[in-house]
Amino acid sequence: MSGADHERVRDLLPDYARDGLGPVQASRVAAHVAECDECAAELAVLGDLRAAAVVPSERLAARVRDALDAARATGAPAAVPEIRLRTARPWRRRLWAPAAVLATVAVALVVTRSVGPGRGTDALDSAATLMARDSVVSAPYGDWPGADGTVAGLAMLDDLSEQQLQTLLERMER
Amino acid sequence: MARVTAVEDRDLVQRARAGNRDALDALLARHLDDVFDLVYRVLGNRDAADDAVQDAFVNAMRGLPRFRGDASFRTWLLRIALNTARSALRRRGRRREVALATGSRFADGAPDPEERAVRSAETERVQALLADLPEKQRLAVTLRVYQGLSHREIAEVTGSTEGAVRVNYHLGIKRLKERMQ
Repeated sequence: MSGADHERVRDLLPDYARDGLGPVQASRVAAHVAECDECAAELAVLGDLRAAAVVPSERLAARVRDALDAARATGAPAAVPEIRLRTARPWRRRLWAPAAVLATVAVALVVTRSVGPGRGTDALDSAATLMARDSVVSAPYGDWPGADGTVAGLAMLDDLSEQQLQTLLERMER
Repeated sequence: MARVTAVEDRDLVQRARAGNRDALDALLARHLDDVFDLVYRVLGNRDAADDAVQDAFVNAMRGLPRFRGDASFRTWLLRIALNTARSALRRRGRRREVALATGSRFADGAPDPEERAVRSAETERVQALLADLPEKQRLAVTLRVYQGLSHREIAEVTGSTEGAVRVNYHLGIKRLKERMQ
């Protein structure tokens, strides 16, 4: 199985662990996990996490129902958040290509300084890809990512040190 | 945990907006587990989580007339729950308690007392490791593993970006893997 397939399967492991995949994808993941120690180890961690799931007490639903009834009686509106995914606005989209080039250069510079001689161009390429990908809205999750190698998946992130990942995070969250 | 479909949610939301109490009850039943789990991971305390869950559902019910459907009801509700939990945390002066299993009810359902004790110890350990992660990593892992949200949906709930969520999830799982093994 190729590295790209490994990456895609790894992305789907949480869905596989919660039995949330269709039969075709599930069998593909199962076949990969049977041959891949790394994915098998990660799946074991996900299994441990799921075994430690918490559930509400039996009385909570009744308590919330009572609170909803009481609130309906008073009827005061509440402030609720507007959900907007932090993505590029239309005017920004036109600038995406040159911005992506600049971002790639900037990240390459930052990562080069923090990496030192031990890390190769793969890590730089992955960081740059991740940065560029973060500028656009990607396809809905659940589709297999594109086969063009542009997916910033978990395996690519493996090539970065924790410090590099933190640097990326800081830049992405600005 | 029941699977939740957006189509059925949309229908229930429309009926709940029109004042149908059964529809509101159905939405509560469908999402209570997810909301509780998220809020509990933020607050680390069962009693505080119960209070925040109640506040979150009341806030959501009152906000229903202004729910436009740009996001799914589920992510909208989880966003409200997260904001409510964070407010509760601020009120408590950021004194977050480590989520230990003592007195908690977990989803493993082991009937044998001895097996239950063994599982409980393991569960406590996993809970503590998860609770020890920085909040962004903890939320990315929680929403991905327990709620089954996509990276994009997690970004909607947490007000972050898809890429940042992906990195935070990766860091969280990496740390858990190191500490569990």
